[in-house]
Amino acid sequence: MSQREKPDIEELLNSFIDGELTERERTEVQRLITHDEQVAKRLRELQKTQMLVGSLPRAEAPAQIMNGIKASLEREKVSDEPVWSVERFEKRAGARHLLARKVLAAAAMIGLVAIFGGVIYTIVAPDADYRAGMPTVAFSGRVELKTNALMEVNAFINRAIEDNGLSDCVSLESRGNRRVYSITCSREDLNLLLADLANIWERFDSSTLFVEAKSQGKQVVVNGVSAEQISKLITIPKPDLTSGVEPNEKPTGKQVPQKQVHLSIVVAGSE
Amino acid sequence: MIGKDVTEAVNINIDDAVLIERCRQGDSAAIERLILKYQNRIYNVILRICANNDDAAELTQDTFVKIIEKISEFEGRSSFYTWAFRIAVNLTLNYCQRSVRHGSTSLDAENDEHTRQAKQQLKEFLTDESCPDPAMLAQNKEMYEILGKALMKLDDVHRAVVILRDIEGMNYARIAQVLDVELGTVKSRLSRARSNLRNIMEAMLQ
Repeated sequence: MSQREKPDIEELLNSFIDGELTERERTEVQRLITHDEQVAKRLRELQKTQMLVGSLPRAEAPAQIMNGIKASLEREKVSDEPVWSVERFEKRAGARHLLARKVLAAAAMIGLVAIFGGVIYTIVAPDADYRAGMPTVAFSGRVELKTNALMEVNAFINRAIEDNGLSDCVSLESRGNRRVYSITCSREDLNLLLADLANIWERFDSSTLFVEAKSQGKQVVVNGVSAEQISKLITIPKPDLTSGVEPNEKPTGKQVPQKQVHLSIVVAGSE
Repeated sequence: MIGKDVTEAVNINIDDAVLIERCRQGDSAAIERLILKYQNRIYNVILRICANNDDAAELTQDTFVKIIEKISEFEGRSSFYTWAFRIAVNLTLNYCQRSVRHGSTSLDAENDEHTRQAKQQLKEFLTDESCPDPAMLAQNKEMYEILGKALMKLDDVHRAVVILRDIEGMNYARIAQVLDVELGTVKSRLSRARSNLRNIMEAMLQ
C-alpha cells in the first residue's frame, strides 16, 4: 500500500470502533494498538466520544405529528382543485385543466388590476434608485401572517420552499412563536411559492402586506391581502422610464426576467 | 455516487414492501402503520440534528407528508428505511442551512450546581485513561445538555453523519446512501466529526 493510498489512522481507528474493517485491516489495527501507546490512547478517546453520543436518550415523537400529517394530506387533496396561478401548473406535472385555469387567471388578473390599481401605482412608481439605474430589487415587501396553527403552517411553508427548490434563496429566523422567512428570488419562483401558499391561506387569521413606496417616502399597507394579490403586485414590473412610458400607464407586461424580488413572510401565532 | 455493490446489498424489507404497496393503493391504515413504525427514529435523528423540539416535530411531519406524496416514485432500489431517512436528513439539513437561531444560551450562563457537577462528571469520563466505563453515562440531563450544545457546534454535515452512525446505528454504506456521498466521504466526515466533537467538549469543560 503506497503512502497515498494508506488510510488516515484516525479513519482506521473510527472504522475499527464501528466494525467497518476487513479482517486483515482489523488485525493491522490491533497490532498498532498493542505496539503504540499513543494510538491506543487515541482509540480510547474516540470510543468514549462514540459511547457518549450513542448514550443520548431517545425521545418519543410528539403525538400531534400523526394528526398534523393527516391534516396536511387532507389539505393537499382539497387543494388539487384549480387555483389561480397558470405558471405553477404549466411547470408542475400534469398541467391539468390548463384551459380553464388560463381563463380563470385572466379573469383574476383583470379584477385584481382594477381593484389594486391605486396600490400598484403607489408601489411601482419610479424611485430615485431606479431612476439612477442603481441595482435594486424589482419588488420588496413584507407580509405578516397570524395563525393559531403555527406548527402546521410552518411545516407547510417549509415544504413549499423545498418543493419549489428555493432553499438557497431563503433565510429563516426563529424567535419564540415568530418565524421570518426572508426570500429573495426571481418573480417566477416567488409566484410558484405563493401559488403553493394560497392553499394554506385560509389558516391565517390575518394577513397584512407592507410595501415601501420610496418615491413618496411612505409605506403602503394592504390589510387582508391574499397570496394571489401579492403575486399580482410582484408580477407587474416598474415602468421603464427610458422608453418614455408614463408611470401611470397600464403596465405593458414587459418583464425583466432576471430581476430579483424580495418578500419577507412573517408568521406569528400559537400552535 | 454510490457504488453498485452497496446499492445491491440492500434488499427491501418484506413488511415494508407490503405496507408500501398498500400505501400506494391509498390504504390509510397502512399509511398510519408506516408512520408509527418509523416516526420515533426519524424524529430522534431530526431532533439531534436541529436541536429544537418544535422544529423536529414540524420536520418529521413534513418528512412523512413528502414520503406519502412520493411513495409511488419509490422504486425499491434502496430500502424504504434508507429512502425515508434520505428525505428526512435532506429536509433537516436544508432547514438548518437557512435557519438562524436566536437566544441560545451559553454554558457560562448556566453555572448552577447541577451543571458544574455534570461538567465535572463529563470531564472525568473524557480524561480517564482507563477503558470507557458505561456506568459513567448514567442518564444525566445536564450532561446531555452539554453534549447537545457541543453537537450543535459541529458543522451540519458532520453532525448528521455522527448522529446517523452513533444514534441511529447505521453502517457506513447506508449512511453513504442516505447522504448520497461516497463511502470514503462518510469515513472522513465521521473521523473529523468525532475529533472535532471531542475538541469542542474539552474546550467547553475548561
